[in-house]
Amino acid sequence: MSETEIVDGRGFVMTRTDTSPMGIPIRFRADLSEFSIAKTEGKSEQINLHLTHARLQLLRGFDELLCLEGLSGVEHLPHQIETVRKVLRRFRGRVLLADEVGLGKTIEACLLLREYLLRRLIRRVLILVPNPLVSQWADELSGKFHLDFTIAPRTATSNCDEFWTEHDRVLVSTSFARTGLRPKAIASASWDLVIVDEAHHCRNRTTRLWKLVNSLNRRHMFLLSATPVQNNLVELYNLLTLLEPGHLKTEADFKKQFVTRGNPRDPRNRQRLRELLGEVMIRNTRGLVNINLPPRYAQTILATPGQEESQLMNDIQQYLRAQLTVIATKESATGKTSISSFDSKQQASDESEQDISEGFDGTSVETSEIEPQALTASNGKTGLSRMRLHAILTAMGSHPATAAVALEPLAMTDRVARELCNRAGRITHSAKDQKLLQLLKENHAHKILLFVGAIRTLHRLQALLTEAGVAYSTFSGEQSANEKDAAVEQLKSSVNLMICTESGGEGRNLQFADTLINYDLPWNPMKIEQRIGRIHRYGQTQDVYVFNLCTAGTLESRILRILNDKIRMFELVVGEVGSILGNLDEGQEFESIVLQLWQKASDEQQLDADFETLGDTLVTAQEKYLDAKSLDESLFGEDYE
Amino acid sequence: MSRTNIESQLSDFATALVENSGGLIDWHADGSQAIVMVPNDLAKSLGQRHDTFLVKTQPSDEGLSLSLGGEFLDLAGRTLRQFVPSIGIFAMEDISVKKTEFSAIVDASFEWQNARCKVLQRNPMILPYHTWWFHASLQSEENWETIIPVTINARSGVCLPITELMNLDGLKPAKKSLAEVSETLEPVLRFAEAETLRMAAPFIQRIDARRERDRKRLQDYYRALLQESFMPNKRTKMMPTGEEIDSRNKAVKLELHRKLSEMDERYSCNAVLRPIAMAEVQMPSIAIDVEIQRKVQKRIFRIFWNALTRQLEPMLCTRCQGSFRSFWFTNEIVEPVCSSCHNKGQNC
Repeated sequence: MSETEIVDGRGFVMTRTDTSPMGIPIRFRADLSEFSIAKTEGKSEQINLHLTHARLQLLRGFDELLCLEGLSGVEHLPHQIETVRKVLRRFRGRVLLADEVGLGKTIEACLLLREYLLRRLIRRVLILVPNPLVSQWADELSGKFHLDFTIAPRTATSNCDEFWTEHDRVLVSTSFARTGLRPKAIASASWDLVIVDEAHHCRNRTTRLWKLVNSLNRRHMFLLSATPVQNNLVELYNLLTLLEPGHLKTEADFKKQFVTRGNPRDPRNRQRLRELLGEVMIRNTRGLVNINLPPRYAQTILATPGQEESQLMNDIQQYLRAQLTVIATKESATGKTSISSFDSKQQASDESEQDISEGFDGTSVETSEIEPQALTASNGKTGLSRMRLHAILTAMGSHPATAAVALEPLAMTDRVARELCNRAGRITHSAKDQKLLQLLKENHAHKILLFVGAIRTLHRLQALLTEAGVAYSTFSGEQSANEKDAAVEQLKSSVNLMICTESGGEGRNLQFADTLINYDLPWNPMKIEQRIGRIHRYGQTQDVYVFNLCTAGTLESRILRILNDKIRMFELVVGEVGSILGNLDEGQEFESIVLQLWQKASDEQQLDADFETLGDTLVTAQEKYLDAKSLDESLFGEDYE
Repeated sequence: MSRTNIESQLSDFATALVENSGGLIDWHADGSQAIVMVPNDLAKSLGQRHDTFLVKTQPSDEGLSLSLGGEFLDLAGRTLRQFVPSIGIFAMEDISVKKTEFSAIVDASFEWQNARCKVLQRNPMILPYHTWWFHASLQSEENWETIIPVTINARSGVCLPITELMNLDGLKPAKKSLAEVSETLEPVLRFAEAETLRMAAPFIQRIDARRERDRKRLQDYYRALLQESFMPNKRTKMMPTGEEIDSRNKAVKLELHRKLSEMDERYSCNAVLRPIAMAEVQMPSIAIDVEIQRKVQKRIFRIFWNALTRQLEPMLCTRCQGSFRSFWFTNEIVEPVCSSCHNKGQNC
């Protein structure tokens, strides 16, 4: 036991060390930094007020979860809350969350993260996720859980130790983290919590990712994977060794005890293995938590554009391609590439804000993973950046009026763009409008959510519906909370249609609606899934119908084709798309891939062929996922808890 | 504890907080929200931009939401520290002290192991007692926390098992403190530390046991790895060279060392005591002077009759500063020493 030690000038803060019976040093500190002895005129109720405050602070015990308050758009599902409690109490912050797809592993991890942060049990957090899921995580963390994370920039900054020690909350893609100088830099910092999504990528001990995660100095760790075992049981051993080294003893011991000789996928001593897994792993299944959703049906409605609209779309694409050629020529002449001249992060952020103010929501290409493949000319005059290009192309898939808005910044300096902008503005009714009205007429008895990606499109549709005499309510990011509530109430009681922007109905119970129309399509399949998830979710009792409107020949029609025909996305369980995209391990965000395909293709045939190849890649990723899913189901059973 | 109960506790607390900080609060009939009017600096302390704002029992973007999870308790803590005194001086005048004969009581209350005691005189007086409330927390792999009240006789420095001084009937504000607040802080902190260790004993044992289990598991695992370093290569079936074995062993030992340090860091325990409030309660008492004779030496000590517990209070051991009723006295200066310190001294 050491003597009292004066720590600061106030003379009262002191430290002393004692030891527990087994020798854990207990360092005592009296902290008087926030206690004033100057005022002594307190009344008894005032003293009691201080005590009440302290007692209320104590109520922040694990019985009362703090993380559930103040969330946006997160339903409190019993199995998720139970999982949070289990991890807090029994698992002490080291767990493999292996819920079946769609049951909300990410939500559970974020709830736990929030709980630990609110209780001040942790401060420094590192989240490692596959590249295609980075923006999804960033959106959920900030939008639903109000937790801001720094996304590791794709610059030399990320190679420095200082970046990782200076930032307390970092989100980084696994492929980026495990390469170059990053592993050493990341491991130089100590972390209170490390979260690894799609953790089955750490299944092999010889990989750089496994070594990176193993080298991290961390107190708590959550590994997330619906399919922890992809090929053989040793992968499970490797994962759990990351979590609790020695829990399954050595690999040789593990194989001897738990793996059938000659068949590395077949476990022996199942009961004992299950007991050991139960100490470090939680797996909720649909059967266990009783979430069985009614069927979902999807239909694509292809609209053939009129001559004016079709010509306009072609001309805009030609114009954009010509701009790219100009940039490429300038670059080769100056020997300077726009890649290095583009301050991507700043520009991406500036443009994103600008686009949102213009009303277009779907501009977040690669804001998380700053790919230095910008398109801005080195003189900056064309203003055609990667973000702008994406904005224009997606706007074209939405409505000509929205395309006009997206072209406006270019139209300020370019005569051709101005002319295209004017032509787009003149088309008041797009090919999809007629199809939409027809669809609404056929489904007039259903409660319908009509999704649009852009505010300008929403305004156009409002005019169209009013003109056609269709009653509707509107739910958009422009509205106050009360107005949004009123819109939902209106849909429930007096109208059958609600037009929504991307955030539509988030956090509200919309399961009374059974039909969803995508007037336009986000390029990111996760966002499409989010839209569907608004009504095809826990609590839905009716069959759900999804209609995808799209104009023939657009990029959206190609995306739809591969998602629908190749992986049958609209029949998948919510969450499976993420698992498939997560298998595109080295991949970029899906939106970036689409944009790159468009950039690379010299004509429509090549674009079709490239999309076909992308579709095949998705099929391979899906097969990989399904194979692992089937193995994990046979391994853990339906009743694993 | 039900949700409603917590909500009502939070509402009551918010009301008291605003009213004690110089503001006004008016609750809506259904109790779901209240309008608050406060001075500008108080509004700022509560994180509000305007001096009139709403307090709501449900999460909301506007005004102040009362919840355990949000920032309300943090803001309230800041406001309390800024606007509400945490030290009060009170007096208990109604309590009566009539006892006159103490010789028998002193004999029954204390054991004088190697000395004789003679009761001399009694002096009625007003004694200051300080009750300190501490928030005690232990942070290791898990957290443990509680509130520990400690009452000390500010004259004798003896800590007493009285926890509810603020709930006494007849407590009135007093004008002036009879003892320096800072004087009692150090002895109560020592007492609070001991109390923390006593109250958290099951928690500490649990952490100890876990650490031992984890240490053993890690050591077993790496020991097994060390043994495997002698095994032939699975693919080539070649036996490792001595150099390879040394290199593998070195790597395994380093890894074990790293994991054990990481584990020790995870389990290391930080105990923090933070004072929450302090009350001085001035109570009528009787000071009894006793003469202790050890061999030829004599010394006079003062013992106090506690009007609340209706008992004589213990005395302090001059060595460990603990409170005891059984004492040994030194030959030269008749220093009172508890049995434990006496035995230690003898062993030395």
